[in-house]
Amino acid sequence: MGEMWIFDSRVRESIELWVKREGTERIRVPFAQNFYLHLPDPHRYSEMLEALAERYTVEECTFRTIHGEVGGYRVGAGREVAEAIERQTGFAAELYNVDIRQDQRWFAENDLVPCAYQGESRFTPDFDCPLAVMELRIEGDPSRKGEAGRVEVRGDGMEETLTGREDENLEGLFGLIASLDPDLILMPDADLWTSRLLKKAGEYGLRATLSRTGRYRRVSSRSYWSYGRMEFKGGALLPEGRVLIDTTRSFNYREGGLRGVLLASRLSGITPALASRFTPGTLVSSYEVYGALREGIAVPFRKRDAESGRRVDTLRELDRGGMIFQPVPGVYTSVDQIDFTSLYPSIIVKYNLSPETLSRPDLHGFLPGVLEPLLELRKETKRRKKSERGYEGCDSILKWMLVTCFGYTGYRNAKFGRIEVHEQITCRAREILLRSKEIAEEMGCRVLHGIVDCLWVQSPAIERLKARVEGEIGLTTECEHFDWITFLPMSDGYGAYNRYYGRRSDGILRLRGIMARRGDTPPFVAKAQEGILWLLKGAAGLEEVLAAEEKARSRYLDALEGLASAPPDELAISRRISRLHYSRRSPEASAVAACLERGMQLAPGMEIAYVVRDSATWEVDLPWEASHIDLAYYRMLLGKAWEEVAFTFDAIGGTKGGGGGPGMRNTPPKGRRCCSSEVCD
Amino acid sequence: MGRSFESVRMGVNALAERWRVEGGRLDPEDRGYALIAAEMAKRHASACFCAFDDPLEAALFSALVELLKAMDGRDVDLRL
Repeated sequence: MGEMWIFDSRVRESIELWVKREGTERIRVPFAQNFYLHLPDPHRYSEMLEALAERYTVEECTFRTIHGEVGGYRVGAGREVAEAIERQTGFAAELYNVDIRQDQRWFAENDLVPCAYQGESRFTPDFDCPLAVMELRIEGDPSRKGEAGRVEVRGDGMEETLTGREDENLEGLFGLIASLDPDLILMPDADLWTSRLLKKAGEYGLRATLSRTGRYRRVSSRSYWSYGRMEFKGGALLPEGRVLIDTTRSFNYREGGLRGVLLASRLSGITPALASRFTPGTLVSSYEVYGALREGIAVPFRKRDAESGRRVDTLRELDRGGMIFQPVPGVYTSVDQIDFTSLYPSIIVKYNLSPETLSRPDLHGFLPGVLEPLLELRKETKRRKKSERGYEGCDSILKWMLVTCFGYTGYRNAKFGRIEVHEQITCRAREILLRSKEIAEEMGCRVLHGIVDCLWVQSPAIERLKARVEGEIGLTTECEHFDWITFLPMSDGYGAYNRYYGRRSDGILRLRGIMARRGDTPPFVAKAQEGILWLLKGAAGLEEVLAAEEKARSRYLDALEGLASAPPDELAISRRISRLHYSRRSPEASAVAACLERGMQLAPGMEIAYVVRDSATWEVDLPWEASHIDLAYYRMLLGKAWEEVAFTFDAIGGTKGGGGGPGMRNTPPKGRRCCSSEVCD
Repeated sequence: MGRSFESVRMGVNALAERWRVEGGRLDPEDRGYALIAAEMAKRHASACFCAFDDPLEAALFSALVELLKAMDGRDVDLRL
């Protein structure tokens, strides 16, 4: 095949590949669909087998599954036939390689991956990208009716801005795409714009050049439940022969940048267009499927290793999730965070946890085998990104893939998952965190907080603690030193598990779970809190923190004053909607009604934004229509944001406490403490 | 992904809330002690959930530890 670099593929009668070689080429390779069939009692289905053999190729064979060799048949047909076999055998037939992507399968069987030259390792963060890239931005909101505005195009050393009428701009845009002929287009809201651009092109009689062939592949939108909440995945039109990445909606692009998306594509054996649109969970699932196919392991169509019946108390005992040590709310100085690197995947690898090793621990498990190189690559990128920021994107995408690989073991449809593996992973993790806490306490450290894979400790010798934990547990850890850290309380006064902020010794503030980090905080409030916290960035000690109190309070009061004149966009609250019909009044219900009245297409799981006009009746406006705001409501939000910062001043012993603003307590909440290794016991 | 059960911590919190509500119905001189008992039950909720399956066992264990600390003259961290 020569030195080709595949960046797009389509499955029709043959597999069409879009490759970079000398230039850009489209090549077709022959391909025949087939799947594996195992029948527990073949004689019983002899008539069905004969009928199959009359129409399709049916070869007797043995094939590998993660549980070992299986005897059966290779049937030269597609999914429809496989499903007919299932029905005819009353679901007794075991089917493999039915619902996998045929281009991915072809890549695996030919030792190829997209975005890599043949023979190149996919487990490296250093790789070429020979694609011609264009950046494109269209002014306007594609989710609302109206004309597309100004068009900015950048690529191949040129920059052009089109500022004419809509039809002129689109004609110019399609002309630029045709002349520059990019292989990859980066565009904000691309998946919303594409269908509109095609429709507009039809209306103006223009030839849309987004696709190299004029054809597009449709990816449907869908709403689904994930971790107890409704999510929405928007649809897309994927142009043929060109990679189009939606830089706004692609989680993987936002987290990993272009190199992150390309690495995901290489690892998972799927095109970069899909790699940019998949969730990290689907990416890791694709990665596992590709790994199986590459090793010649057949991928089951339906899961057959269902969980056996167990008593509820047994389940309760086994399925407990991660270990948490609750912090005492307060401000602590000289704190070290000791964090296990990719704990759950490391446990899978170290303890050989896989569906087939539950009953046969002597086997080398499929999951550990497939995850080990991913884990090693993550360690490498994590090490390299400390000195070269260019590796951050690759590291981030690997982090997300590894984070989700654990959850996938408990997913009911995971091809290589089993809930018992999920339970064993969390069980080992709890033991590890508990033992690490014991080690820390044996070494005279004070454990302040612990959550699943990390501990916060006040330690006289963190390097010795790290070495002992690593030596005894056998997993790698990372340490970060905080000059001070604040653990915030919950409403009942007990320490919150995931709401804290602190200053690392390198001067960086780490914020978790507070209003500046929450997705539903209005930008104005988030920025105000960030601005206040910024003052603490230079405060290495508690005295310096206290010294910043007056300035901080003044910033808070400035923000309060500025609320009335803040632009509505800055006050928009973004929330994910779980349904379209609400029985009670709520801001989400009002916002959904407003969107539906304006003919906007909504689906559960979508995120909508609104500005609160009256919190007593939950009347809201869409941000672009808002002219009035409920000032008291926004003052309350700002007050909450201030309270999270003021807690630190109170706890250290600030003279003015947290009082002074709307929604503020004038006395510190109970249970606040100031504990430091120097000043507190 | 995985399953969700009421954790021991959640169970202890619910139990302590019942104790708190029930305490409100006691004679005035006993109410304060009932609230303290409820808080003592919650005190070790997060650490206990690893060892215990039963919220009641965890709550009693937590309350006993706090009682012994109080008898020993140690500061008992109660958020009342």
